[in-house]
Amino acid sequence: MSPLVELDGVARRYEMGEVTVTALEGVDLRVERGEFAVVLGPSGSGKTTLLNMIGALDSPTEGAIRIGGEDITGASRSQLFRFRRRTVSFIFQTFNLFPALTALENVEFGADVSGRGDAREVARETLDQVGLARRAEHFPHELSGGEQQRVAIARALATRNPILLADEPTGELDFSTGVQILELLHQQTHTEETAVLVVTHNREIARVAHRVIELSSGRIVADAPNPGGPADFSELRW
Amino acid sequence: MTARRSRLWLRWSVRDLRGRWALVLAIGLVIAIGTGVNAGLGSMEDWRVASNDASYAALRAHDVEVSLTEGTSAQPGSLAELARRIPAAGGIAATEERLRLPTQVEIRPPGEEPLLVPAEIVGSPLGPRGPRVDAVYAESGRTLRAAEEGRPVAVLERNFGEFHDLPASGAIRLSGGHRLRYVGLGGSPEYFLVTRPGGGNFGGAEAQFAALFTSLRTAQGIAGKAVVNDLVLRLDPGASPAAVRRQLERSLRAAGLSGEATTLAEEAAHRVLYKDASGDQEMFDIFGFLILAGAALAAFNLATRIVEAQRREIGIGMALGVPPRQLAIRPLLLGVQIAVTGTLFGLVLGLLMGDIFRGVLEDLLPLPVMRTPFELGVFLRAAALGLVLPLAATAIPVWRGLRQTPVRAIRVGFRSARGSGLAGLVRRLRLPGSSVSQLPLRNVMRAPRRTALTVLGLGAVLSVLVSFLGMIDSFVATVDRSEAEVAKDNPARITVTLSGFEPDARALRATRVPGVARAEPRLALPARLASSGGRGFDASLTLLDFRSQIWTPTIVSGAAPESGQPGIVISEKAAEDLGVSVGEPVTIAYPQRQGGRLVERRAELPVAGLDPDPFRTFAYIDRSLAALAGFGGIANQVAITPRPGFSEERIARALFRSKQVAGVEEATATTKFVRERIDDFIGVLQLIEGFALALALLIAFNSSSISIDERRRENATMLAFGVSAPRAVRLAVFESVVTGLLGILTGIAGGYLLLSYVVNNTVPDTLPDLKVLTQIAPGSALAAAAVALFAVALAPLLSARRIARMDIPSTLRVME
Repeated sequence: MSPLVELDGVARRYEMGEVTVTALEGVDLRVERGEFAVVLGPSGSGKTTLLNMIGALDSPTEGAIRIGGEDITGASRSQLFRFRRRTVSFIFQTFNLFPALTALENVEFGADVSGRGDAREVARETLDQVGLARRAEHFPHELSGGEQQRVAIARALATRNPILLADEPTGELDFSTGVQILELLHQQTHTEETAVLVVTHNREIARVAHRVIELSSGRIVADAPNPGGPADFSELRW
Repeated sequence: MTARRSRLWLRWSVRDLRGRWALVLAIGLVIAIGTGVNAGLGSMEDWRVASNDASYAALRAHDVEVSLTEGTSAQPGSLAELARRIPAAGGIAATEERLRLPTQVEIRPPGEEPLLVPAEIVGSPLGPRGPRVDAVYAESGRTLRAAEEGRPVAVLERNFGEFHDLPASGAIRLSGGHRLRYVGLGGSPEYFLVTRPGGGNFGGAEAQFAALFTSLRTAQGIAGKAVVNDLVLRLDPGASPAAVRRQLERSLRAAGLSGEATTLAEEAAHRVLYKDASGDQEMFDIFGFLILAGAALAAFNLATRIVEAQRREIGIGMALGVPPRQLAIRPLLLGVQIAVTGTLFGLVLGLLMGDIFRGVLEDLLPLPVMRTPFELGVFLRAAALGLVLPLAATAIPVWRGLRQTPVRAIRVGFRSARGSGLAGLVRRLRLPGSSVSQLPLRNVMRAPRRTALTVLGLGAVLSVLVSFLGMIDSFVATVDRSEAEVAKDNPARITVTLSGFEPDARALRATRVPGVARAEPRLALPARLASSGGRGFDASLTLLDFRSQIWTPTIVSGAAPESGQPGIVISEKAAEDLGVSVGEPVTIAYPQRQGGRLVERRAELPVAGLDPDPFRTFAYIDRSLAALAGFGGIANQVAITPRPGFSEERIARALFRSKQVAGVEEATATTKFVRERIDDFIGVLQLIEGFALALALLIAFNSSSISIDERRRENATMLAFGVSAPRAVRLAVFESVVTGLLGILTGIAGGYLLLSYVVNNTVPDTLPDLKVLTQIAPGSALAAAAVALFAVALAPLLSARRIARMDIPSTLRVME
């Protein structure tokens, strides 16, 4: 059985006037179903670009990306739309909620787009899981940063897509909520066999991952399973 | 799409609308002004032509008129008999012989000084329904009854009456002592528009010229002889007026009579009414198009910018895999909302415009029948653009957004925060001031497309404003130039028009009244100037002494002809139109006196000199040549220089008793009435100006309001770094002013180009006798600039409260 996510020699370069900026270079990566991987690296190392590549938000300059054995680098626009709808879910660093939709509607929107017939129920359930059931009818601007983050996480979870990509998902959260959310993401890897890729600066989070990938200057400099296996969530401190 | 999902999208769109209703309304209003003004202006020609047609038909206007040369007449019945003998006589439906007399009238408006003006008496036989051809209508009071044939009653021309606020009836004194009572204010087809010879075919001569419609016998009584000098004919449908005119002219010559036949279409009033309608429409179409273009550009720009602000949400949708068609729904709904608002407002405004323009039209062209229906076709054409435009304005950025990769579209403040466009140019420029003070200029430069659209929208509207102001400036400058030439160093000079041709000595004796310092007899003849190529036009040929102490034309090229030397002085404009220069020949058709009759003769004279008068209708030859035309020692005008302290009015009053005097006018009378005509036209221009101004303000306000939204995060950042709210507002004002200045420069340049186009292409058709100078007075350009600057600078101030009360942490935290 092929890995869920496969990257072969992926590079991403941006032309900025006369200067070419390399965000990723020669990246080879495999991620399996049910895997919880944390991507670490300093700012500008290419973490978010890597996530964008896997999520088909951007396309590589070089190399190939296969998701579930299907090459998405040569996919048409409509295939990419379908791929994003049915295969990946994003948790953005900047939340990217729709300001004119309530928390519940934002989550419902995610579930709805991914083709869930019970979108409203799923949305309520997921909001409850992230502890926001009582804030369901609030608009984003009426929520705190942490609450908005949780709505964004709930929207991603509600899609039940097999790949979940999270860019600094706990950045705005206090410790206990952060841990709670990480547990929830972790849970997806068991219950739904979801592959979860979390980008973070926080090395403490990497302790609960199955695998830790380190990026530096656009290249993978380390990629190994967590020595001794994932730590227990109760051991986390930050 | 499921019903549940549809409901979500619907709810979403309703919330969108709630959040931006003010902008939707404002952009809708911009479109409405564009379409409404365009529809109103676009209907003018149809209204005018329909009103002209209906008015001419209602008064049984003549198709052909035979006028004997001034000072000559014929026995009653002889002109009608002449018409009966032409080959095309079978096509004549009705004829009417008339007597038209030049005179001078004195009328006393209630509570004001008496008016003393040149006038014409038009005497027609009164039937049971008034004259059978060229009937007279009454706007107030009544028309004449058949029983009043020969009675001293008349209908006073309504344009003159309304200009001077005269009552519907009153007393009139004629030169020579006759008295009439006018019983109504009314008109006849020839006087739908009051024109005067040499006046460049302008209408609007009513201020200084009165017409009196009376019975033929009354007119003959005033003339002191039972004669006629005019014949009007109505033709059967299908008969050719041109053929009848030609046959009548041949018939006239055969009968040894001097005169001319003209078709209705050749008459000054008719020509001006129809040509003006078509010529003005060209101008109105240009103005209407520009206002619509300004509104369109502005609406496009504003709608685009609103959708650009939604692009991040489009990006999020793309990241979530929402199909592009669904992603396009919300922005396109915005377009639909704007389109519907704009069309509904446009319809209301279009109807309102119709009313406003109808009122202006009725003031400008008082016709007995006005036909001004709502021109649905014209409105629909403009409204179609108003519908399509916002949809396109929203569809294009959506299409562009959907073509981006999601990661690019989703980037926070992608459109507003990226440093692209011409920002690189600024980087290389050494600008004064701190980095903060340079921000506005950098903001303007980094989004050249957006800046260009704003500048073009503002520029298009300002172009209209500037060209309107320039149009007035150009006419005023032209009239000033003419007046300077006519007045020269003797602005007080007066021209006395005699009732007929008189020997010099009698002419001088007739004008010998107290207050006359110097008097010179002159001869003014109707003539036609033509080049060898056949191009020609009617002119007023004055035979004067080029050594005159009273007035002679300024010679800017060539020289004044010596006494006895053949040569003609024409204006530069006339030379240009005839395609001749000094020394080259011009053919002159002029009346020659043979015994008691006038016959038309042609002669060729070299152009001796050119004068700078912008009117082409005045031409001069030395009086020593008058003998060649049979007018040796004969005059029909006297030029007078009054003594200091003696006004034109005082001398006119003194000359009023003389039967030989038909009119007394200041030398600048022609330019004065042209000025008055311009004043009428200014009313229309000011109306359009008002809408252009409203549009400029709306564009400036909307543009600024959207800019403030786009700069929300930047403003929050500045405030977070301790930049004071007033300074942030000042920066917004400065940015707005920079864009406004670019718009002003575009507007002034565009306005000048537009003005040049109108002056060089449209005006020559509608005012062929006048060379209008293209001029935008510095004051006009400054006024337009000041108005626009005020609007663009004021707009950000309205957003000052929003900046001052900004929730900095939440604005900085996320875009939501």
